[in-house]
Parts: sequence; structure tokens; C-alpha cells
Amino acid sequence: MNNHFISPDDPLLTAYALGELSPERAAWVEEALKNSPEARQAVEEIRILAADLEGALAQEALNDPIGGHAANEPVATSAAPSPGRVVPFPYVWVGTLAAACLAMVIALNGPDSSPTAVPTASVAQTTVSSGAAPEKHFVRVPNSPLATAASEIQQPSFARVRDSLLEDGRRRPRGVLRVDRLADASDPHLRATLSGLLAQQETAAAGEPPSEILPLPEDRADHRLFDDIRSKSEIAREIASRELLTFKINFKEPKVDVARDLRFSLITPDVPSSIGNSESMFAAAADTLDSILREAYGSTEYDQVISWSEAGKGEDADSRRGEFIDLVKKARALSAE
Amino acid sequence: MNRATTQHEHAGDFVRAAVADYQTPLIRYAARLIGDADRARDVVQDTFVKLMSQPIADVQGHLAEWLFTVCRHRALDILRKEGRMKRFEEGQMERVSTAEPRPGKALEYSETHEAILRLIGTLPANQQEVIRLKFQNGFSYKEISRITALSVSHVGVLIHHAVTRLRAEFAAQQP
Repeated sequence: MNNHFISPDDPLLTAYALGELSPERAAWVEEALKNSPEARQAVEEIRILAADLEGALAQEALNDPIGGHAANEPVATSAAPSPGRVVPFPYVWVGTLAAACLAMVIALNGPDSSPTAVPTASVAQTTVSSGAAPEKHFVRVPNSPLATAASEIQQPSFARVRDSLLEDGRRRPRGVLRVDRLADASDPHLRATLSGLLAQQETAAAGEPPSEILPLPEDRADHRLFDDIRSKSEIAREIASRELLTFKINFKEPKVDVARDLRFSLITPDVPSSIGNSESMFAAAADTLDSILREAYGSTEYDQVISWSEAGKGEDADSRRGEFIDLVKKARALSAE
Repeated sequence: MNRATTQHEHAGDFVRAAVADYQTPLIRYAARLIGDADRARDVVQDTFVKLMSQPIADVQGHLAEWLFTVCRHRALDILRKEGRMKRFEEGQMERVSTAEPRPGKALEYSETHEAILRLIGTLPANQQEVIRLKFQNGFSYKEISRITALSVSHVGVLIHHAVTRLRAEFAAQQP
């Protein structure tokens, strides 16, 4: 009898059963197994399952048209699909959740700085990439097109925009604002609003120190979706109280294989009141209505939505905003029943 | 025949052998990442095009790992790009799924294997990916770590959780 013990639920045991341990660690586990019939049983079961997994997945490959056809034959696609046969990894949703799909006229490329380069000196800038391409100056796409370029606005940061601009710090939203919905609600006006924000904050944020790092709130389950692509410290930085919003620009140069991200954090404690214009006001109203209807917020928020949407109604040339306000009032009446 | 020509032919043989050995598993892997078999083929083609530009010495000894890593990067690039530029269409994944097994082949599936495949399909996506890399493609924890950019311990935990769940659920299904 030795004093080595291991739980049957220890990942080390699975690694041992699958032959993944170094000889030294494997020897340690073998000693521990002498003390635990349960652990020995677990190892046996894991090895049986591993054999079954290999058999099942090998057989699946043989019966899978992708694997079963010659490499240069077209893959058979069924008119009657087979849900569950292929379950793609949902990285696309991670990207969608993390991003607003606004096309940008800003991109990276070119060997030298263009005379039309967007000024960036006043903006906190972080390269988040393992790509090997050297960092370039900003140029305009029409002058220096890239293979791909897209931008994002990080959601937690944009939620803070709504806090600061529209609620005057009275209440923080409980959920994370889906900027893509916001873009749907007001595009292309939102784009113009954000361009104005960028221009003003480039001036306002000059000389500001970087955001402090705050702990990641444990109850923000939605952030965990991003664990694979962003570290918690990155997320924490984004939700730091002094970060107003973040633009992320993803780009891939034509002859470079790995896409890269650049992130611009717009940091300022002072938000010009003129930014809270009718467009962003109405967009926030539309988004909040969506949250209410998903029961993310309480029904008492209807009044706030009506207030915002009336304030952001503007000229309402096509009467759609007026219809929206009527819709919210009907929803409020229904919720009260 | 000069020395350069010999090296070129040697490189051509190397790539041809790589295509023969890895094209099918790479397409299968990319198809699961993207949900589209045709585009998966494009991804794999790009992967081999990149292989052609690599010095053989840089990839020899870890060719499979290199190919899966490049393939994964390209597939995720596509997803990221399309996630922004085109809203993902609901149901698209199902429409581009592979077809049912060829007639007669279905009978070859054992009940055990069928049950296991169904259970694998219920795992979280990241667990499915590492399980397939481990048990379908034969990669070690360390190799999976390099392909997926996860730590080795993270890979170990994902596989452990998946195996634990599969054991429990498979046992529960047994009479």
C-alpha cells in the first residue's frame, strides 16, 4: 500500500487511460490505481469507450460521403438533409455575438502612410493578433484595398455608450446590448452617429491613460462565449468603466494567410452631450424594446422606450418611427393586461 | 537533370503524398467547422496550396498537425468574415450537411456505434472537436493543443468531460 490517491473523476486518469502521460506521471498513476478499485474500473471503462469511439468514428468516416468518395469527386449533398449528421462548431455565432456588422472605410495596408490616413494618435490602440505581418499605418480602402476588412463594436462597451449618453448614469443595462440589432434599427444613421462619436472622441481622449483592469463579473455568462478567442483580462479591460466603446477592425492582406485584429478603445470620462442625438436615442429605444420582449427587462421599461423613441422621432419622413411608437404603446397595454 | 529540378520533383511528390493521405480527413474536419462541404473543399485546397509554398523541412515530422492547424485557421477566417459581411442563414448548416450513408452502408453500422455517434452529437461543440481530433484523426493532446490554440491541460479537461459524459450516458442507455 502506498500513499498515492487519485479520484475516478480526475482528468489525469483519462489522460492515463488514453496513453497521454509521461512515463513518470504514468508510473505515479499506476501506484495510485493500486489503492482504488473505482479508479481501476474507470480506467477500464475509458479504454473500452475509447475503442468504441475510434470504431464508431472510423465507421462514420467510411459511410460519410465526404470520406467515402474519391477526393476529386464532388461531395454528394442530399436533397433531404440529415440534421444531426454534421453538427458544425458554432464559431460563427461567437463572431456574431461579439461584433456589429458595420462596413468600415478604414483598413490596413500599404508600405507607407497615406496623406488621407485616419488620425489615430489620440486613440488607445492594441494589436490582438498572432499574425506575422508588420503593423502598418491606416489608409483608406479606396486607395489601398485589402483582401478583406471588417469592423466590430464590442457590445459591453457600446452598452456603456447607452448608459452614458442616454441614461445619464442613472441605470446600467442588465444585459449586453446587441449592437448588430442596433445597427439594423438605424442603419445607415447609426453609422453616421458612430462616425461622429469617433471624430469627437479622438479629440476628447487625447492623452488619456489606458483603462484599468477590472475583474470579470462572474454572472456575465455571455462573456464566457468568447473565452476561446479573447482572454478574460481583455474582456475585463473592455468593460472597464472608463472605456466608452471599442472598435475592432479585422483585416487580411491579400497575400497573408492569417487575419489580424486591431482594437481601438475610445476612452473618456467626459461625454459631450451633443452626441446623444435623435438617431442613437431612437436606436436605443428599438433595442430596449427587443430586450423587453425577450423579458430581459421588466415591463416598466416601456415608458422609457416610449420616451426615448419620441425624443428620437425627428422628422419621421416615412412615418415608420411613429408606427414604432404606436407599437410600443400597444405592447405596454398588452403587458398590463 | 539539375539539382533544382530534382528538389522541385521531390517537393511535388511530397505534396501529392500529403493530398492522398490527408485530403479526406481535412475536408471532413473543415466541413464540420464550416457546415459546408463545398467550401470545406476550397479551404482544404487553400491549405495544400500553402503547403506547396512551404519548405519541406519546415513541416516534415508534424505534417498532419500543420495541415489541420492551417485548415482550421482558414475555416475560422471564413466564419469570421461571413459572420460580419453576411448574416448567417438559419438552417444553412442542415442544408449543407452530408447526405445519408449510401444504401446498404447503413446496415453496416452497429447499434453501439450508432448510439455513440448520436451521443457525440449531443456534446458541446468544443468537446466534439477535440473528441474527433483525438479519436478520428489520432492526434495527441499536445498536437490538439497546437491545432486548436488551447492549452494542453484545457484539451485534457475537454476530453475528460466529454469521455465522462459519454460513459455515463452510454451506460444509461444500456439495458
